[in-house]
Amino acid sequence: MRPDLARILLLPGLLALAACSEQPIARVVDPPPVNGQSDAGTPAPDGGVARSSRNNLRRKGPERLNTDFAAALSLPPEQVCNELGQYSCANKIHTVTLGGVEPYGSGLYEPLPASGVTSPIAVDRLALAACARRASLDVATPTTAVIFAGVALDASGRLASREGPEVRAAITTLYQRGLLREPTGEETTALVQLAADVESSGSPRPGRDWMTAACFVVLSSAESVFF
Amino acid sequence: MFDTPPPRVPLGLRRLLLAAALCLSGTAQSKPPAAAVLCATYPTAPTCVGRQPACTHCHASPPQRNVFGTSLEPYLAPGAARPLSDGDFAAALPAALRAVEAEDADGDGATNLDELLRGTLPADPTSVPEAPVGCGGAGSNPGYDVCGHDARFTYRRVLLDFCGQSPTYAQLQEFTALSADARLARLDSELDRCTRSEFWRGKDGQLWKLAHPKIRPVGSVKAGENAGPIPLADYDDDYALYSYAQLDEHDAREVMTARYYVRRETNPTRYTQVASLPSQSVVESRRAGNLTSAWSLVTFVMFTALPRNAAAQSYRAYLGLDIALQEGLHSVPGEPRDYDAKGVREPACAACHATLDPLSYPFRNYQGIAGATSATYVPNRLELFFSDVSPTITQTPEAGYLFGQPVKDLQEWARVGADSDAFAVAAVTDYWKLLVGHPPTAEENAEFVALWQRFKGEHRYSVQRLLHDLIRTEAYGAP
Repeated sequence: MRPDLARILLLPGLLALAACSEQPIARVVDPPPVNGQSDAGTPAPDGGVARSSRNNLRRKGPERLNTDFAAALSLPPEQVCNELGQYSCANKIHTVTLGGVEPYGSGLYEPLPASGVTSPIAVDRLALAACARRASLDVATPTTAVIFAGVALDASGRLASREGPEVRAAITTLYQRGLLREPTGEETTALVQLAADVESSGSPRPGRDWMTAACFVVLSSAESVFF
Repeated sequence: MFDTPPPRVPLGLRRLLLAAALCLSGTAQSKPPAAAVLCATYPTAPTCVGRQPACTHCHASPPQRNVFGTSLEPYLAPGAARPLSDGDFAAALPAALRAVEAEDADGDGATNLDELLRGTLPADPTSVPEAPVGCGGAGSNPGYDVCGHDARFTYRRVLLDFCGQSPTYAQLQEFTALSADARLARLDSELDRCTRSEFWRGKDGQLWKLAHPKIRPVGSVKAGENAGPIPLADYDDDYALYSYAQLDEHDAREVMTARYYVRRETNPTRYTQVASLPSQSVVESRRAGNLTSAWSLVTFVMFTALPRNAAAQSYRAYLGLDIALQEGLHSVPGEPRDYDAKGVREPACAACHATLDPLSYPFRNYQGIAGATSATYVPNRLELFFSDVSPTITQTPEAGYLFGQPVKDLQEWARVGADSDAFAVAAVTDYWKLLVGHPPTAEENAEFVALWQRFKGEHRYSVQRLLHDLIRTEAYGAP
């Protein structure tokens, strides 16, 4: 998916995740006016790029999200996210919220017709848990790091070189594995800047937190959650 | 709302269609034959292609009219004595429909004609035709062919839909480098590979998800593996037969007509046809696929003399017609007879029961929950077990009607149903909703109709062939 289309898809994705009740789950819409006035600061969603002719994004749902996150981060599917360390987020706890069914115990034979207000929270939960695990593994065993290979931390736990090629390579790996494309220059710059923001937030382990946050940005994006 | 012109059907053809509708309604004995006349008037309406319009187009609950039905009344043979005969009603309805075409009965901003031609309900303000998006707008798109079938986009969808996982970056790069023909060949080979995956065919896989609303499992009364506290029947057998009928070039109709059962084995999942199962008890000559499975009989017949619920669920699950939503009503003259004295001859009940009761008669000898005879075929079941229900219960025939057509027993019921357009429409709709993400829209209707017609024809009811065809549609593959 190219970045221009990604931007087109971002708005409907956010709307759908915010409990939009109409079907299909997501659609391309213009930014709504605020108090009757167009928001001059919000760019047009198409940016000169031809829109989708079908307006038909679909949610990945619990199984596909879990599997894709597992593949992107090279984690066993059963280790992507577990509540209390033992109950699968996708297959047990948040299944219905993520668009799945629960036929045998609850008689819920088909997915709910609309996403719920907790759907984006559940997606975030899944992405954050998976990303935190990947970041921990990559920091703990850098020789087998999957995403953040070669990204060194200094004595304060910060990235040793925010602008270094290892950080940029990690960002590229994240986009290739998570979104199946290269990052744009703008996206790379934004994630590099994120490292500075995390450091200035007072985090006790800013390097690892940046890894988690950068991964979360990619996996929780509309481009990752819809197809 | 839209500049959609009414379909131009030559007058002679319109008369022929109307005459055919009235003749067919004679077979079906529709009373009144409103649905057939509506379709003769608007033959390209999505609700008419391979289907019959639901009564909810004109009725709140027959015979009560909704706002659209009420708006027709002044134009229905004005001045003629009421009630109108079926013939007078059918003759007057086309003109009445034309008279209100420009009106907007439900006030949703779309004219009645727009709604009929675009497949929405003219009496439901929440059912509104959507503006077609189309393509060819400003700009170009370097990443996608937004105006047609995009193989790269389709490749990602195929892997997610059938394997449950996106391709890797390297796989996508390799696919992108292929020629156009090679891409199509790769799509086919990946579809075949992925439909062998556990995600597609395994327990709780995509096929099982399609089956959930048909089988309606209840874990607390499950028997067999993972039995519940009150084990009554094992619905895993139903999932196995359903899945088997969808896989490996099998005939999808056998979910309704099979006289065999299917055993599921795991690691990897395999479905194998068998002549009998210890969990099933209906004699072979009386089997009709999942309609007569132990689970269906135990949960849908239960303790009832006349198994209306079993008939209605079979009609809904496999033919896509929900009588509770006033779909698929084909009133039979003289029905309902009310053999079990439930008061269904009241006008408010008869509108549906004139279809439902004769639909249910072929289930009369199938036992639900009854000790040693549970989930079996019992000749003279009503005489042996239910003679005290009403003075006339034992007169209930085993012959009944499906789509207004006489059927002598449940095996013929299942055969007529499985061979019907309704079955093909329902089966293809299941996959359309699963893979496209919504029921066919007005814009997609032409592709959808062609698809279910090919499912009956060149696909010979093979879901595998259907899927290869479906992933080539623009509805599936256009971003």
